[in-house]
Amino acid sequence: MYQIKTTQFEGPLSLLLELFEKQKLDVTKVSLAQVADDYLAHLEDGKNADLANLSEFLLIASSLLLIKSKALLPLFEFSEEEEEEIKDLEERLREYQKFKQASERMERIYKLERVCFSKEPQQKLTMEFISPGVSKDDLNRLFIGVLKEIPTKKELVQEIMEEVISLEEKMMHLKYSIEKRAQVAFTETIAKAKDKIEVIVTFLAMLEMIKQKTLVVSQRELFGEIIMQAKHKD
Amino acid sequence: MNDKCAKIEAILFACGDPVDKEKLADFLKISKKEMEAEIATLKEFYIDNKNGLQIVSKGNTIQLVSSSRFGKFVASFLDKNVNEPLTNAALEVLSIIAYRGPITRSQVDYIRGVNCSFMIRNLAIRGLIEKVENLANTRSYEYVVSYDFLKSMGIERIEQLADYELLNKTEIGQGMKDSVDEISGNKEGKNKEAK
Repeated sequence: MYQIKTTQFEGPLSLLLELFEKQKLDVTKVSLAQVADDYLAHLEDGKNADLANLSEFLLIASSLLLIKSKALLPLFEFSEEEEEEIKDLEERLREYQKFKQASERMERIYKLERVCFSKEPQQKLTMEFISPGVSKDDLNRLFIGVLKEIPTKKELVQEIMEEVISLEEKMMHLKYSIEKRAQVAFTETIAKAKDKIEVIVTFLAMLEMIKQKTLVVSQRELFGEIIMQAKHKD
Repeated sequence: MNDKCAKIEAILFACGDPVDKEKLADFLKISKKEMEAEIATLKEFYIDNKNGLQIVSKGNTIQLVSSSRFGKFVASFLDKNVNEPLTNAALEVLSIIAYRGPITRSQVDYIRGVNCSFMIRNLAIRGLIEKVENLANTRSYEYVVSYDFLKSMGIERIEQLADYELLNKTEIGQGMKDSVDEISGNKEGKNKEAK
């Protein structure tokens, strides 16, 4: 569960320094003993017991306890190594204090926003002229090549439809012929025919008129002349 | 402004990005020393004439930028949000890297007493710090502040930070560095044995 912590110290040094500053103490061996209790109280509070930094807090706590025990037991002497460790802690605290103060000064300047601006870097992509090793003809050839690569839409072959005479037209024709004259031979009607199709159409027209009973035909012999006559209504 | 100075200005303007001072000196056929003198002249010129430009330098490069005097003014014209707030933790990491850079992540961790990898990543994403190769140990990186940091702070070079000389001096960090090197040296030795 996350809880909002009012005073959380990121590390043991910042906690120690805060304790010193609260009591207006300089960083000395004596003052380290004085703040030891407060330091431990903070640890017990659990406010700073982040797992990540807990070992750092505990390491300093052990040093503080050592210093405190010396203050309580005058006969107790530090070993050389312990002496070194305490000296080291004092130095580190003083060092940290210097940078903490420096960072506060730095923040004040930073907040003034006395910012310098530099020219934006030039765009990396610039237009370049390709060396004159390429000629107009090369470009032309290449472009044609490119055009060839493009698939063209295949045009459907348009069949030219020949205009042929329609059945209706032929029928009109025949009707006109047989009304004008009593008898008309089939060969006469096709005498001027341009092609076979016209002959066929004429024949079909004749058949159609027979069916419609507007025309009668007679043929004397097989493959003989077909004679057409109008069929008069009774 | 003399001719060389004006030429330097022209090149810096045209490039926009930081320009290598040595490369520029070679191009102008002048010595490194002369180059520095010309840059100093150019900087003075900008200040004396209340110019809208200034020079920022970092390492072996210089960049022509707008004057920090007009930070907010230019930002409002560009409609840009500048210097978004930083948390205290981020500011601490930033100041450590600014004063002590190039510095390894473990050295930053040691000074702050906590793991700072998350903060370092955040600052890198915001472009305020950048990775450089660690010459002492090629398997790890070192961090330095970026050009964008200098421009955000409106300073010409990192040494302009307050108490730079004092805070840049490594006291316990140095010991730390040695111990780190020893450890990594041992590791390297072991790796070699393993091979």
